[in-house]
Amino acid sequence: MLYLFVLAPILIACSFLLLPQRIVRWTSLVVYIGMFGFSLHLFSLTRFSGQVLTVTTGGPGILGITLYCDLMASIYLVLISFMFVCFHFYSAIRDRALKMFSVFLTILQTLLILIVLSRDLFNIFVALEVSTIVCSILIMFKKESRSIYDGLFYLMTNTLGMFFILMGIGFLYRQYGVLDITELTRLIAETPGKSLLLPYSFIMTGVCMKCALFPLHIWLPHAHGTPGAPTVVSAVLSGLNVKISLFLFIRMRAMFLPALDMDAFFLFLGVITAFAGILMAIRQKDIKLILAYHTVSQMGLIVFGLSLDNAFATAGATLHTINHALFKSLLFLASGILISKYGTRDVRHIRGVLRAFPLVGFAMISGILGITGAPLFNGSISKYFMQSGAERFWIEGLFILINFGTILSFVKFGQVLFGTPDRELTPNDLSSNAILSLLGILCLLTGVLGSPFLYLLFGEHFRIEPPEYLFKVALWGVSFVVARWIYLRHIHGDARPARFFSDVSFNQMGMRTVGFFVILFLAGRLL
Amino acid sequence: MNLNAVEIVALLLFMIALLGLLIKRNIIKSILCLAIIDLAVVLFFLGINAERNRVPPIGTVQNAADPVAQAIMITAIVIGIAVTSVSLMMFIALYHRYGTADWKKALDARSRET
Repeated sequence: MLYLFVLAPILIACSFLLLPQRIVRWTSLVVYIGMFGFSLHLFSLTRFSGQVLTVTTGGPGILGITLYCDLMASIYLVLISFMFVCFHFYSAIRDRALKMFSVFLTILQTLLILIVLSRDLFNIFVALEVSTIVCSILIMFKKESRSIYDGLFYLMTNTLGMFFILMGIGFLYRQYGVLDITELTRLIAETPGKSLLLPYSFIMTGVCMKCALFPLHIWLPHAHGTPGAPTVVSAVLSGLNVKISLFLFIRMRAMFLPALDMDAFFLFLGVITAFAGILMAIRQKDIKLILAYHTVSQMGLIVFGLSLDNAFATAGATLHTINHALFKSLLFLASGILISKYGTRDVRHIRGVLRAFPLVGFAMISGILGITGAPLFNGSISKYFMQSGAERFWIEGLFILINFGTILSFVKFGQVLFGTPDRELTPNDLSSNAILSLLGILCLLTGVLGSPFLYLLFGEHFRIEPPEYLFKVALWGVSFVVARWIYLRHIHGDARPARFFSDVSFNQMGMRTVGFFVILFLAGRLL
Repeated sequence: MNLNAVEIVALLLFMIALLGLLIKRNIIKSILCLAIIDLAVVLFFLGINAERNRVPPIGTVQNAADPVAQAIMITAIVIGIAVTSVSLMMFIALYHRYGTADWKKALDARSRET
């Protein structure tokens, strides 16, 4: 069955090319809903009967190629397929999307699912690399000149990262002669540390490139916020694609953990990434770029949470990936509507969303409150858990600072909601309104029912202590007031983005990749 | 770590191509460098456990070469070709818009557009 889950959608997507437009729209809806239903089924199997599904072809055990579905994987499957149903309702009915677009989107979804299910390093490489190609084609889909540059840049940088990963896989294969992650984990646990440093550095350089951690994050904002790409592509890239890279980060970290513990390094890197993303987000005036830079900072936050190596923080970070997929997709979809209605991408010229499009406005408020970790919304739950995982005082302080920066950048973003619109606007259509409202309500529901939701996902009880939670709420309020004050006093005007952070040529990107590899290697030697 | 001659050549190729990525501004040369990196990785895989007097792994033979590396490298070669062709295609489109094959000039042209 798991094989069909991967194979069938790709075959159906290829048959789309032969079918007329009208049929494709409804068939693809059936495919998305069918995949959502099946992933729910997988989730219920792994969660409630405690099964772990494995399918192997070719030969028994490590000789074959294995698909593997545990609880963690099935959660990601549900997330991916649910988001794609939403994206379909948003795009296919709204934009009358082209046939090729549906084909690529369906293939991309299947590849993402394959990455999650694969238990074989080479399979993961293939799926990642093909998804990179598909994404780059989707980025330049409208053939707008800037997005062609961004698509090429995205493709080449990420391919470089992927070849680093493949080289690392080569070293691992040379040493152990297997590619299966389960078997590799067992073998690595028996090996003494430093001999694995070279494959580790190769693989982690590639994975950090895909995760857009600090010096390698340059490709992300332009790929995710590029002017020419359809809005759904931005939402897929920012909501799902980087989450899959994070999933890979989690798997690779777990695989190497017995031999090489580099948590201290990634803790440091996560903090830098978070601050770099926020600093850049504050300086942007393009609505999509603000969101894209914000994705960078949230990736840093999640890596930070994961590296704390604590059950609370790990659960919080995992939950935050899901929450981030919800609210970042919501915000990207909403900003797509605003861009098409107002005809501009400049946040300073979009005003009065609440008055013109009340439903979109309320959904955006819900998303913004979620992302800043406001009380009752989903972001507060995941950030609460990550913070309670922090044992030392200064780590908690860093969390508060990062969250303060997030609020600061979203105070700027939130300006679009208020005021009065300066032009006549056509009302928004029903289906995208419905999808935005659904996502907004989900942001609220997973926050209000945070503890039961976590129990539903992981089957473990994580208690929320009311006094501590109230303290966090008060902290949020104080940060909000201070952020608003600072925004109004100091950064109301626009600042030009620093060139060092944003526009970097490909050669410099290659230099950063090599530099990152060397630093990672040296850090591994020292730690 | 005892590397054999094939692996050493593969690693050298990898580094040379990487150097090309760092110092050459021409987009086509960058694409070619990526293709060479791909080939270097393929060569590295094929060099794993390679010795003299190995025979192709067909049927039941003694002293056969490692079939897994060869099997998966076919896929890697195909993917490398796909990457090269897609990036060349994108480069053509880019050249029509900006009229340059230089990363820095293309970046400047892109920044001017916003």
